[in-house]
Amino acid sequence: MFNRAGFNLVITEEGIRAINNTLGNLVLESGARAVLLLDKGGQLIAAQGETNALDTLSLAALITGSFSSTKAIAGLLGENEFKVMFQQGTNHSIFMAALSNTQNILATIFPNAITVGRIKYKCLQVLDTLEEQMKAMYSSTPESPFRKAAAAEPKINDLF
Amino acid sequence: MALINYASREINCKIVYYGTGLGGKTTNLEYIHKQLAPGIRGEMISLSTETERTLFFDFLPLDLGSVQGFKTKFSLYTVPGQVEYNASRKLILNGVDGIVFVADSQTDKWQENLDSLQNMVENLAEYGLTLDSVPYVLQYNKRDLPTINSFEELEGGLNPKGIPSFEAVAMEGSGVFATLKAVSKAVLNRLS
Ligand SMILES: Nc1nc2c(ncn2[C@@H]2O[C@H](COP(=O)(O)OP(=O)(O)O)[C@@H](O)[C@H]2O)c(=O)[nH]1
Ligand SMILES: [Mg+2]
Repeated sequence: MFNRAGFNLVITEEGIRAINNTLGNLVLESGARAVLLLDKGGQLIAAQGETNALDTLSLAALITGSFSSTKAIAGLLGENEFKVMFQQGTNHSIFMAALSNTQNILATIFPNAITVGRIKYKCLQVLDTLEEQMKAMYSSTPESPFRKAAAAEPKINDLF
Repeated sequence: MALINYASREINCKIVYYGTGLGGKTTNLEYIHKQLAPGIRGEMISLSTETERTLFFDFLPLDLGSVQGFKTKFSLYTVPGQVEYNASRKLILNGVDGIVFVADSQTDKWQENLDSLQNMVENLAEYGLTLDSVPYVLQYNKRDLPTINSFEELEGGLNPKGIPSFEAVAMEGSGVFATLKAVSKAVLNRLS
Protein backbone atom coordinates (compact mmCIF):
# COMPACT_ATOMS: atom_id res chain seq x y z
CA MET A 1 0.00 0.00 0.00
CA PHE A 2 2.84 2.37 0.85
CA ASN A 3 4.19 2.30 -2.65
CA ARG A 4 0.95 2.33 -4.50
CA ALA A 5 1.10 4.82 -7.31
CA GLY A 6 0.71 8.37 -6.17
CA PHE A 7 0.84 7.56 -2.49
CA ASN A 8 2.33 10.34 -0.44
CA LEU A 9 2.95 10.36 3.26
CA VAL A 10 1.35 13.43 4.72
CA ILE A 11 2.82 14.47 8.03
CA THR A 12 0.24 16.35 10.01
CA GLU A 13 0.95 18.70 12.90
CA GLU A 14 -0.80 16.50 15.48
CA GLY A 15 0.70 13.34 14.02
CA ILE A 16 4.25 14.56 14.20
CA ARG A 17 3.73 16.08 17.65
CA ALA A 18 2.76 12.68 19.01
CA ILE A 19 5.73 11.00 17.33
CA ASN A 20 8.20 13.64 18.45
CA ASN A 21 6.87 13.20 21.94
CA THR A 22 7.53 9.46 21.85
CA LEU A 23 10.99 9.97 20.36
CA GLY A 24 11.83 12.77 22.80
CA ASN A 25 10.91 10.58 25.76
CA LEU A 26 13.00 7.79 24.34
CA VAL A 27 16.02 10.12 24.22
CA LEU A 28 15.44 11.23 27.81
CA GLU A 29 14.85 7.78 29.24
CA SER A 30 17.58 5.93 27.37
CA GLY A 31 20.33 8.55 27.37
CA ALA A 32 20.66 8.22 23.60
CA ARG A 33 22.26 11.04 21.66
CA ALA A 34 19.60 11.05 18.97
CA VAL A 35 16.78 8.95 17.61
CA LEU A 36 15.53 8.95 14.04
CA LEU A 37 12.34 7.55 12.63
CA LEU A 38 12.88 6.58 9.00
CA ASP A 39 10.93 5.39 6.05
CA LYS A 40 12.49 2.44 4.23
CA GLY A 41 12.71 4.53 1.10
CA GLY A 42 15.36 6.57 2.93
CA GLN A 43 13.20 9.48 4.04
CA LEU A 44 13.60 11.03 7.45
CA ILE A 45 10.20 11.25 9.13
CA ALA A 46 11.19 12.60 12.53
CA ALA A 47 14.25 13.07 14.70
CA GLN A 48 14.86 14.03 18.32
CA GLY A 49 17.98 14.61 20.39
CA GLU A 50 21.14 16.33 19.20
CA THR A 51 19.92 16.51 15.65
CA ASN A 52 21.64 19.78 14.78
CA ALA A 53 25.07 18.26 15.19
CA LEU A 54 24.21 15.43 12.81
CA ASP A 55 23.67 15.26 9.06
CA THR A 56 20.30 13.63 9.56
CA LEU A 57 19.39 13.59 5.85
CA SER A 58 22.47 11.60 4.87
CA LEU A 59 22.15 9.41 7.95
CA ALA A 60 18.59 8.60 6.93
CA ALA A 61 19.66 7.51 3.43
CA LEU A 62 22.64 5.49 4.64
CA ILE A 63 21.04 3.83 7.66
CA THR A 64 18.11 2.77 5.54
CA GLY A 65 20.51 1.41 2.94
CA SER A 66 22.53 -0.59 5.42
CA PHE A 67 19.44 -1.92 7.15
CA SER A 68 17.73 -2.91 3.93
CA SER A 69 20.81 -4.48 2.42
CA THR A 70 20.77 -7.21 5.05
CA LYS A 71 17.45 -8.41 3.70
CA ALA A 72 19.28 -10.64 1.23
CA ILE A 73 21.25 -12.24 4.10
CA ALA A 74 18.03 -12.78 6.00
CA GLY A 75 16.59 -14.42 2.90
CA LEU A 76 19.41 -16.98 2.84
CA LEU A 77 18.40 -18.00 6.37
CA GLY A 78 14.78 -18.27 5.41
CA GLU A 79 13.95 -15.05 7.27
CA ASN A 80 11.98 -12.24 5.66
CA GLU A 81 14.17 -9.55 7.21
CA PHE A 82 16.18 -8.92 10.33
CA LYS A 83 14.16 -7.08 12.92
CA VAL A 84 17.05 -5.38 14.67
CA MET A 85 20.58 -4.44 13.75
CA PHE A 86 23.45 -3.04 15.75
CA GLN A 87 26.58 -1.21 14.62
CA GLN A 88 29.27 -0.57 17.20
CA GLY A 89 31.88 2.17 16.90
CA THR A 90 34.64 3.25 19.23
CA ASN A 91 32.63 6.00 20.88
CA HIS A 92 29.17 5.78 19.39
CA SER A 93 26.93 3.02 18.22
CA ILE A 94 23.67 2.71 16.35
CA PHE A 95 20.81 0.43 17.22
CA MET A 96 18.17 -0.09 14.54
CA ALA A 97 14.80 -1.74 14.87
CA ALA A 98 12.15 -2.34 12.23
CA LEU A 99 8.55 -1.49 12.98
CA SER A 100 6.29 -4.39 12.17
CA ASN A 101 4.45 -2.30 9.56
CA THR A 102 7.39 -3.19 7.24
CA GLN A 103 7.85 0.41 6.21
CA ASN A 104 9.66 2.16 9.06
CA ILE A 105 12.89 1.90 10.98
CA LEU A 106 13.75 3.37 14.37
CA ALA A 107 17.45 4.23 14.59
CA THR A 108 19.06 5.22 17.89
CA ILE A 109 22.51 6.77 18.09
CA PHE A 110 24.05 6.45 21.52
CA PRO A 111 27.38 6.87 23.33
CA ASN A 112 29.08 3.63 24.29
CA ALA A 113 28.83 4.56 27.96
CA ILE A 114 25.30 3.23 27.71
CA THR A 115 24.88 -0.48 27.24
CA VAL A 116 23.26 -1.76 24.08
CA GLY A 117 20.98 -3.87 26.27
CA ARG A 118 19.47 -0.79 27.84
CA ILE A 119 19.00 0.90 24.46
CA LYS A 120 17.46 -2.18 22.97
CA TYR A 121 15.06 -2.55 25.87
CA LYS A 122 13.96 1.10 25.68
CA CYS A 123 13.60 1.05 21.89
CA LEU A 124 11.59 -2.13 21.71
CA GLN A 125 9.27 -0.70 24.36
CA VAL A 126 8.19 2.18 22.13
CA LEU A 127 7.85 0.29 18.84
CA ASP A 128 4.17 -0.46 19.27
CA THR A 129 3.38 3.12 20.15
CA LEU A 130 5.27 4.39 17.10
CA GLU A 131 3.52 1.84 14.97
CA GLU A 132 0.13 3.18 16.07
CA GLN A 133 1.23 6.76 15.57
CA MET A 134 2.52 6.02 12.06
CA LYS A 135 -0.63 4.14 11.20
CA ALA A 136 -2.66 7.20 12.01
CA MET A 137 -0.54 9.24 9.61
CA TYR A 138 -0.47 6.68 6.82
CA SER A 139 -4.23 6.64 6.85
CA SER A 140 -4.68 10.41 6.85
CA THR A 141 -6.07 11.71 3.58
CA PRO A 142 -3.20 12.75 1.34
CA GLU A 143 -3.70 16.27 0.22
CA SER A 144 -1.13 18.13 -1.78
CA PRO A 145 -0.28 21.75 -1.12
CA PHE A 146 0.51 22.07 -4.84
CA ARG A 147 -2.91 22.87 -6.18
CA LYS A 148 -1.59 24.63 -9.22
CA ALA A 149 1.56 23.03 -10.57
CA ALA A 150 2.07 25.92 -12.93
CA ALA A 151 3.14 28.02 -9.98
CA ALA A 152 5.95 25.58 -9.27
CA GLU A 153 7.51 25.97 -12.69
CA PRO A 154 9.01 29.45 -12.51
CA LYS A 155 10.82 28.45 -9.36
CA ILE A 156 12.39 25.42 -11.00
CA ASN A 157 13.28 27.45 -14.05
CA ASP A 158 15.10 29.93 -11.81
CA LEU A 159 17.08 27.26 -10.09
CA PHE A 160 18.60 25.31 -12.91
CA MET B 1 6.39 8.32 -1.96
CA ALA B 2 6.74 12.01 -1.41
CA LEU B 3 6.90 13.10 2.20
CA ILE B 4 4.68 16.12 2.69
CA ASN B 5 5.33 17.61 6.09
CA TYR B 6 2.75 20.16 7.19
CA ALA B 7 4.52 20.71 10.49
CA SER B 8 7.89 21.79 9.06
CA ARG B 9 6.32 22.85 5.73
CA GLU B 10 8.66 20.66 3.76
CA ILE B 11 8.26 18.32 0.84
CA ASN B 12 10.78 15.60 0.20
CA CYS B 13 10.89 13.62 -3.03
CA LYS B 14 13.11 10.78 -4.19
CA ILE B 15 14.53 10.71 -7.71
CA VAL B 16 16.39 7.65 -8.95
CA TYR B 17 18.85 7.61 -11.85
CA TYR B 18 18.58 4.16 -13.39
CA GLY B 19 20.34 2.53 -16.33
CA THR B 20 23.08 0.26 -17.53
CA GLY B 21 26.50 0.17 -15.80
CA LEU B 22 28.95 2.88 -16.94
CA GLY B 23 26.18 4.79 -18.70
CA GLY B 24 26.90 8.02 -16.83
CA LYS B 25 24.49 8.09 -13.88
CA THR B 26 27.14 8.96 -11.30
CA THR B 27 28.59 11.52 -13.71
CA ASN B 28 25.20 13.27 -13.82
CA LEU B 29 25.15 13.61 -10.03
CA GLU B 30 28.77 14.71 -9.91
CA TYR B 31 28.07 17.46 -12.40
CA ILE B 32 24.99 18.64 -10.51
CA HIS B 33 27.01 18.64 -7.29
CA LYS B 34 29.80 20.62 -8.91
CA GLN B 35 27.54 23.24 -10.50
CA LEU B 36 25.14 24.02 -7.67
CA ALA B 37 26.03 26.27 -4.76
CA PRO B 38 26.55 24.52 -1.41
CA GLY B 39 23.38 26.14 -0.04
CA ILE B 40 21.30 24.39 -2.68
CA ARG B 41 22.90 21.00 -2.58
CA GLY B 42 24.22 18.92 0.28
CA GLU B 43 27.26 16.71 0.23
CA MET B 44 27.31 13.90 -2.29
CA ILE B 45 27.81 10.48 -0.82
CA SER B 46 29.12 7.70 -3.03
CA LEU B 47 29.25 4.17 -1.77
CA SER B 48 31.53 2.81 -4.43
CA THR B 49 34.37 0.40 -5.04
CA GLU B 50 37.93 1.55 -5.69
CA THR B 51 37.34 1.19 -9.39
CA GLU B 52 34.71 3.93 -9.18
CA ARG B 53 31.84 1.72 -10.25
CA THR B 54 28.86 2.23 -8.01
CA LEU B 55 28.63 -0.63 -5.58
CA PHE B 56 25.54 0.43 -3.78
CA PHE B 57 24.37 3.93 -4.53
CA ASP B 58 25.21 7.59 -4.83
CA PHE B 59 23.15 10.09 -2.86
CA LEU B 60 22.84 13.82 -3.38
CA PRO B 61 20.30 15.96 -1.49
CA LEU B 62 19.03 19.12 -3.23
CA ASP B 63 17.10 22.01 -1.80
CA LEU B 64 14.92 23.50 -4.49
CA GLY B 65 13.82 26.37 -2.34
CA SER B 66 10.28 27.29 -1.54
CA VAL B 67 7.47 26.18 -3.82
CA GLN B 68 4.04 27.43 -2.75
CA GLY B 69 5.24 27.99 0.78
CA PHE B 70 6.79 24.55 1.15
CA LYS B 71 10.54 23.99 1.30
CA THR B 72 11.03 21.51 -1.50
CA LYS B 73 13.83 18.98 -1.20
CA PHE B 74 14.85 16.29 -3.64
CA SER B 75 17.06 13.34 -2.84
CA LEU B 76 18.86 12.08 -5.93
CA TYR B 77 20.01 8.46 -5.97
CA THR B 78 21.79 6.36 -8.56
CA VAL B 79 21.61 2.58 -8.76
CA PRO B 80 24.53 0.28 -9.51
CA GLY B 81 24.24 -0.81 -13.14
CA GLN B 82 26.00 -4.15 -12.99
CA VAL B 83 23.68 -7.05 -13.61
CA GLU B 84 24.74 -8.80 -10.39
CA TYR B 85 23.59 -5.95 -8.15
CA ASN B 86 19.90 -6.32 -8.76
CA ALA B 87 19.09 -6.60 -5.06
CA SER B 88 20.55 -3.11 -4.50
CA ARG B 89 18.67 -1.69 -7.47
CA LYS B 90 15.42 -3.03 -6.13
CA LEU B 91 15.95 -1.53 -2.67
CA ILE B 92 16.78 1.86 -4.05
CA LEU B 93 13.50 1.98 -5.95
CA ASN B 94 11.63 1.73 -2.64
CA GLY B 95 9.61 4.93 -2.29
CA VAL B 96 10.70 6.40 -5.65
CA ASP B 97 8.87 9.52 -6.86
CA GLY B 98 10.57 10.03 -10.21
CA ILE B 99 13.06 8.26 -12.46
CA VAL B 100 15.73 9.35 -14.93
CA PHE B 101 16.64 6.46 -17.20
CA VAL B 102 20.19 7.08 -18.45
CA ALA B 103 20.87 5.19 -21.67
CA ASP B 104 24.36 4.78 -23.10
CA SER B 105 24.10 5.90 -26.75
CA GLN B 106 26.92 3.66 -27.97
CA THR B 107 25.77 1.10 -30.54
CA ASP B 108 27.31 -1.81 -28.63
CA LYS B 109 25.21 -0.87 -25.58
CA TRP B 110 21.91 -1.16 -27.43
CA GLN B 111 20.89 -4.50 -25.93
CA GLU B 112 22.17 -3.57 -22.46
CA ASN B 113 19.94 -0.47 -22.47
CA LEU B 114 16.90 -2.52 -23.42
CA ASP B 115 17.70 -5.11 -20.76
CA SER B 116 18.18 -2.45 -18.11
CA LEU B 117 14.85 -0.80 -18.96
CA GLN B 118 13.16 -4.20 -18.76
CA ASN B 119 14.88 -4.87 -15.43
CA MET B 120 13.61 -1.53 -14.13
CA VAL B 121 10.04 -2.36 -15.15
CA GLU B 122 10.31 -5.71 -13.32
CA ASN B 123 11.76 -4.12 -10.19
CA LEU B 124 9.09 -1.41 -10.16
CA ALA B 125 6.44 -4.10 -10.40
CA GLU B 126 7.66 -5.50 -7.08
CA TYR B 127 6.43 -2.27 -5.51
CA GLY B 128 3.21 -2.30 -7.49
CA LEU B 129 4.50 0.47 -9.76
CA THR B 130 4.55 0.79 -13.55
CA LEU B 131 6.06 3.27 -15.97
CA ASP B 132 2.61 4.81 -16.24
CA SER B 133 2.40 5.46 -12.52
CA VAL B 134 5.89 6.86 -11.87
CA PRO B 135 6.99 10.06 -13.62
CA TYR B 136 10.12 9.36 -15.64
CA VAL B 137 12.30 10.91 -18.31
CA LEU B 138 14.99 9.53 -20.61
CA GLN B 139 18.53 10.69 -21.14
CA TYR B 140 20.61 9.53 -24.11
CA ASN B 141 24.12 10.04 -22.83
CA LYS B 142 27.59 10.03 -24.40
CA ARG B 143 26.50 11.89 -27.54
CA ASP B 144 30.14 12.95 -27.98
CA LEU B 145 31.32 9.46 -28.86
CA PRO B 146 31.79 8.38 -32.50
CA THR B 147 29.95 5.04 -32.60
CA ILE B 148 26.47 5.86 -31.36
CA ASN B 149 22.89 5.19 -32.36
CA SER B 150 20.96 8.11 -33.79
CA PHE B 151 18.44 9.95 -31.65
CA GLU B 152 15.63 8.44 -33.74
CA GLU B 153 16.94 4.91 -33.27
CA LEU B 154 17.15 5.37 -29.50
CA GLU B 155 13.66 6.85 -29.40
CA GLY B 156 12.37 3.89 -31.39
CA GLY B 157 13.95 1.37 -29.03
CA LEU B 158 13.51 3.00 -25.64
CA ASN B 159 10.72 5.52 -25.90
CA PRO B 160 7.56 4.03 -27.40
CA LYS B 161 5.41 6.31 -25.22
CA GLY B 162 7.12 9.52 -26.28
CA ILE B 163 8.02 10.73 -22.78
CA PRO B 164 10.44 13.66 -22.49
CA SER B 165 13.93 12.63 -23.63
CA PHE B 166 17.25 14.46 -23.69
CA GLU B 167 20.56 14.07 -25.45
CA ALA B 168 23.48 14.53 -23.09
CA VAL B 169 27.22 14.58 -22.65
CA ALA B 170 27.13 14.21 -18.88
CA MET B 171 30.90 14.40 -18.62
CA GLU B 172 30.76 17.96 -19.93
CA GLY B 173 27.38 18.72 -18.36
CA SER B 174 25.38 19.18 -21.49
CA GLY B 175 21.80 17.96 -21.05
CA VAL B 176 22.27 17.26 -17.34
CA PHE B 177 20.17 20.13 -16.00
CA ALA B 178 17.59 19.85 -18.78
CA THR B 179 17.04 16.26 -17.64
CA LEU B 180 16.89 17.17 -13.95
CA LYS B 181 14.51 20.01 -14.60
CA ALA B 182 12.18 17.79 -16.60
CA VAL B 183 12.00 15.08 -13.97
CA SER B 184 11.56 17.66 -11.19
CA LYS B 185 8.65 19.22 -13.01
CA ALA B 186 7.08 15.85 -13.69
CA VAL B 187 7.35 14.92 -10.01
CA LEU B 188 5.93 18.23 -8.76
CA ASN B 189 3.14 18.03 -11.32
CA ARG B 190 2.24 14.63 -9.97
CA LEU B 191 1.90 16.12 -6.50
CA SER B 192 -0.63 18.67 -7.60
N1 LIG C 1 32.61 10.07 -23.57
C1 LIG C 1 31.78 10.19 -22.54
N2 LIG C 1 32.03 9.54 -21.39
C2 LIG C 1 31.18 9.70 -20.36
C3 LIG C 1 30.04 10.52 -20.45
N3 LIG C 1 29.39 10.49 -19.27
C4 LIG C 1 30.08 9.67 -18.47
N4 LIG C 1 31.17 9.18 -19.12
C5 LIG C 1 32.20 8.27 -18.61
O1 LIG C 1 31.66 6.97 -18.51
C6 LIG C 1 32.20 6.28 -17.40
C7 LIG C 1 31.09 5.75 -16.51
O2 LIG C 1 30.38 6.82 -15.95
P1 LIG C 1 29.58 6.67 -14.57
O3 LIG C 1 28.93 7.97 -14.31
O4 LIG C 1 30.48 6.13 -13.53
O5 LIG C 1 28.52 5.57 -14.97
P2 LIG C 1 27.41 4.87 -14.07
O6 LIG C 1 27.85 3.44 -13.91
O7 LIG C 1 26.15 4.94 -14.87
O8 LIG C 1 27.31 5.59 -12.77
C8 LIG C 1 33.10 7.26 -16.70
O9 LIG C 1 34.42 7.00 -17.09
C9 LIG C 1 32.63 8.61 -17.21
O10 LIG C 1 33.66 9.55 -17.22
C10 LIG C 1 29.80 11.21 -21.68
O11 LIG C 1 28.83 11.94 -21.85
N5 LIG C 1 30.70 11.00 -22.68
MG1 LIG D 1 27.60 4.86 -10.84
